[in-house]
Amino acid sequence: MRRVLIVTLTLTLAVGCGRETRAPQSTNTAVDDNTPQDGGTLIRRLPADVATLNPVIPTSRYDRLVMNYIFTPLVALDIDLKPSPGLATNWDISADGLDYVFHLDPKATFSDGTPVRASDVLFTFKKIVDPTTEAAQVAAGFDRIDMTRTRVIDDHTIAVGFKEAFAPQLTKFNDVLVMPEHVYSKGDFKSGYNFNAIGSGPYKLVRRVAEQEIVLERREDYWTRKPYLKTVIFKPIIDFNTGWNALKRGDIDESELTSDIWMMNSTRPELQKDIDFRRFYYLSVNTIAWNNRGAILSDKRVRRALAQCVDLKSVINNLYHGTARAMNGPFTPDQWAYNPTVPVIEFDPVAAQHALNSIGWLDTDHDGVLDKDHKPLKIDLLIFTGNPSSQQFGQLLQSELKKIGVVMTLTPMEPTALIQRILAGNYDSAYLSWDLDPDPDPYGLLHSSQWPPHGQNVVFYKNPETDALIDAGRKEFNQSKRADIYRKLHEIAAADQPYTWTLQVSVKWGINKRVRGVKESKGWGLFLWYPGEFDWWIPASKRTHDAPAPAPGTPQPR
Amino acid sequence: MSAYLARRLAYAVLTFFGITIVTFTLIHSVPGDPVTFYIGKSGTHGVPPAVIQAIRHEYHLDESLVAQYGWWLRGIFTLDFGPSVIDHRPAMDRILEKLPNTFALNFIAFAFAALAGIPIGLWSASRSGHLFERGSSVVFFLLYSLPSFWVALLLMQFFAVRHAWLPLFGMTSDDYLLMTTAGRIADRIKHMVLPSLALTYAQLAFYARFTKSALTEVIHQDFITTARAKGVSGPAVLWRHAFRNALLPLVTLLGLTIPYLLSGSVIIETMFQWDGVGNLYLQSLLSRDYPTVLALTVVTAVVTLFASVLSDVLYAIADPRVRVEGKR
Amino acid sequence: MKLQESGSWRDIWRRFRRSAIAMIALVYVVVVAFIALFAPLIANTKPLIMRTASGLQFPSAGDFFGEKEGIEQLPQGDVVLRAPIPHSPNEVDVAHRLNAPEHEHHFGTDDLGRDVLARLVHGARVSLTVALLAAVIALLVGSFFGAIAGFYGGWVDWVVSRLIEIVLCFPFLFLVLGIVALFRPSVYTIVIALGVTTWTDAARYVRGEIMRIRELDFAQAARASGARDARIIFRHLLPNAMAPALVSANFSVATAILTESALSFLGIGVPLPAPTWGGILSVAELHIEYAWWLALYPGIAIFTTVAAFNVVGDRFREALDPRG
Repeated sequence: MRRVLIVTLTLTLAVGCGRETRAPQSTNTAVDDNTPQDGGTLIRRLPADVATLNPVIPTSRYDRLVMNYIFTPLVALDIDLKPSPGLATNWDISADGLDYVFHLDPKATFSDGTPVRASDVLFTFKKIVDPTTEAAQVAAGFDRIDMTRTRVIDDHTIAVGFKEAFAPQLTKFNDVLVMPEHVYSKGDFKSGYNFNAIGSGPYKLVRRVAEQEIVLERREDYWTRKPYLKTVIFKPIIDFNTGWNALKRGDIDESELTSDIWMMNSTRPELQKDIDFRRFYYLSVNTIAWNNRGAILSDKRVRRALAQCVDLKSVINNLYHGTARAMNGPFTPDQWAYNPTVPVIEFDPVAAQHALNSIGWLDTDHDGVLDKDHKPLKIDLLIFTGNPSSQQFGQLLQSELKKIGVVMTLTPMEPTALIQRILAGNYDSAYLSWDLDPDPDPYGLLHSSQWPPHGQNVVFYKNPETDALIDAGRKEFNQSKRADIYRKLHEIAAADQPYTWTLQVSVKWGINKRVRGVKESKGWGLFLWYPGEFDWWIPASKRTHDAPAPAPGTPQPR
Repeated sequence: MSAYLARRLAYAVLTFFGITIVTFTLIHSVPGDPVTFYIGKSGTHGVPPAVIQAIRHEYHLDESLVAQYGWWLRGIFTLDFGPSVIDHRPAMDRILEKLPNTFALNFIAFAFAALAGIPIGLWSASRSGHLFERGSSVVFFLLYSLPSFWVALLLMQFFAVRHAWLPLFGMTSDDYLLMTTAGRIADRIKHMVLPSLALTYAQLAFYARFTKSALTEVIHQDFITTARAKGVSGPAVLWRHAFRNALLPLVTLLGLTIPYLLSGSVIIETMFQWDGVGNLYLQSLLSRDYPTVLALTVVTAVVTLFASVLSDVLYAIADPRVRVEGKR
Repeated sequence: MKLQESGSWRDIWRRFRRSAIAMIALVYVVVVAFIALFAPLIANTKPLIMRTASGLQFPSAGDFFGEKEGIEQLPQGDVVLRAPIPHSPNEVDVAHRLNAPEHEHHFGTDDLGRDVLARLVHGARVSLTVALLAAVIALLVGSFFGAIAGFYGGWVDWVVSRLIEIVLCFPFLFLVLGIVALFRPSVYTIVIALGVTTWTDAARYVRGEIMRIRELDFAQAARASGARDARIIFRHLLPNAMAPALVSANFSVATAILTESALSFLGIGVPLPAPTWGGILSVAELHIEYAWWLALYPGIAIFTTVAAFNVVGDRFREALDPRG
């Protein structure tokens, strides 16, 4: 019975994929296209060329995409972004949460054959923690490390000590991509390893040609479950339209898509035949940052009233064609800390106007603008130049506010200047988007100790109640108690509106249907979680990037 | 002559330092610095203070402005401006990688503009006829009134979107590495067509017009009338007398366009994703990559000053009065 | 270009008039200036004339100096005459974004549903204002430096020449970007940035002219009469030296329109949501595959205006030459 089923399935697939004209290498029809097959080449798109493959100093998420194939993190994150075994197969955390002991997989080796030792992990920590490395992104996760209690116990065991117990700490070990000490301790660490990478990951770097390609080959000596794909090639293609065209032609196998490209093409049947159009949410949220110390905006009723003039439904339907979802607080609906009972602020400009009137904002001089104590209700919104969707959002908000007598001026600024102004507190409001960490702890954004220059609480929010909740959440290792704390925090933050959390915009992706095993995680999309892209495979019959075996004596193209 | 040259060079050096001072003041007055750039990329957790200090130390931001200027001056002599903020490689390396790309693009555009534009200018000057003169003038004006980014957009639309004859972006195709040498050359040429077209048409019109009016001016001068009266034939007049005299301002003009070989293509480079220094300049400014910005300024200033001195010297060779009076 | 020999302004005008093309260009420039001046009356959702209980009212006239910031109520009454283009440049209508040209929107809509034609009309105002102000600043600054350099010669001339050289050698975009980033981006910042970087041409012309005419009779007479330097420069010399500077000012306007639109295109020009020709083109780039109207019309606007200015400037320069 089963054999009949398999044959039927194979026949159906063969008929369905009849347009594939490349002759199969063998007539082995027992290989069916539903179970993963070993081998094949995948071509991926990079939206910008990689600046460096040094695992401690990445400057963009694109660098990390490539590094994920070459290095292994100490702790991996699974499909729900929860810690799972990486280079460390298991770990112990002391009762007071101050000491971690990691047990490394004894089989682990680097791509040059040398075994991974605890000393390599210690070396990696030292590099991260050393300020002169300028590991700007990774170092923040380890600013409480106690290097005196961080030591090698034996070749496959390492102890890491901290000065403070910190519940999110475990997820930070996902940023520790272990380097071989005998390689990286030589030469100039900061500039000598941009494109010279040796790690313990399943692939090794074979070739990199600037602006052209990065070629990775699977290590046949890989020490644990090998990924299916033999070769992975990254192609830097900056322009989204060009990337889309390349995907359509089959020159690349996956690409991120803009909302407009997705809207125009995802429902076309002739494209759906070959391309899997996917949409999912990253841990990335758009917010209006209000300067809580500003004269007008320090009153949370004003902030709430302004938030009521954001027509989220119209933005979602018209600007994003339904491919975004409303936010109502510091957590996204995917996160376990999210409180589903907190309501989204309704679009109600009439109520907003009444609210403003009731706290004293009236148009006393009949110039069409609300005022109080002879000062008009004028707010400036900073937006990033070169970002069309935030400019559109700003203009929409401006026109809604105008209808109730609030003047919002838009000031586009180039990114660094804008960031400088916000950090200096020299602004009214700004439209920002934040990339969130896998752990929901909102310390950096909401705690009063994190006012710039100490942290990223750029709205200068201060509420002792939320401070206490945040502190408690950071120390609470019991998951369900932590969830309760954050749900309460969500309620209060939504009521206070230090930020107005507006939208989570879905990320759109196009993947060639010949690629199988593609799954989405909760918040990181298709990549960087484990096993993620390592489970992708391409059936032998569909491997169009691999040239068929040449006749003997034929010269190979270089 | 050598006195003039020496004087001219001395002035150029002074101007160079003037440029460095202005650049330096400007970039340090603009809000934000490399630290801001790092913070902007640090997500919700910011950058630890120890790291901020290390960054400031590496880029000498913790020293006085005068000291920082001193570092830069030292860099000019050693050609080492420090590491780029983006990838920590020496700023100069990145510039040297991209310089040939910009230069190639601008040079092709310039060469085409000069080689086609000057003869066209000569031709239109040599033809008489009121209507023709008016007409050709207008055509030239129309050409260089076109905004280059609009031309680029239209070219893209037509050539690459509607009819996929030419590639839209980048310098080479995806499968460049698989091509034969001949294929690679063809591929590079194909990629160069649209951007250099967008760059060249305005220059072409300008050279044509300039040549034409310079030549027309000369033709009407007395000594030409004298030559004609002496019985020198038409083309000979044109060539031997008129053109050689019109050559002088033309040479000066060509000299003045040398700087544009480096800096004239920022917008085109950005639009066509041409990996050159124009693009680099914009990106470095926006990310406050001080070492790269300063290095680029030095390179452009040196080239510009060199061209300026060169064209002055050529002019001085031709026109002795300049040398004597010391000014034009 | 010698005003002395050019004759009177009437002579210059006479010579100018002889070129049909230049006259057409001049008319075009005047038309664009007219559109720029009366933009709020030409393109507005508010009607031009309404009949109310208290007689005739002109709602759109209130926008002449800029759209009001607050809520606006139309008076009660009947509409007598709508604006020729019944759309405002900032009338956001997201449900109708990126619509192709049709009866309701002759040039289509942009990415927020705003009428492109209305934005072009108001864009004329922005572009011309910026260009004119920038050209004026360039002219004033350039004339000043050129005048003192030409008049005093010596070390003053030397310093000014070095200054000109520095400005010329400076990467233009860097300077503009720096100035715009330094101050709050606005029309005025752009104007100053443009003016500060383009005064060198005018300076050179004026310097040359002043140097030439300061030895002439009338100038000698003025000096002999004991007049103060400033008086000599500004009352006697400059007016005669201005003609070539005016020519360069004319070209400055053309260049400034191009540059301002390039800056808006790059996103560092006049800030949103002010309508600018370059700004619409920057949106066009993102939607190039399906919104051709966003690319075509603003480009034509820029192109024709700049060309007209160039033709006028060229003819003017020739008209200064008595042989022209």
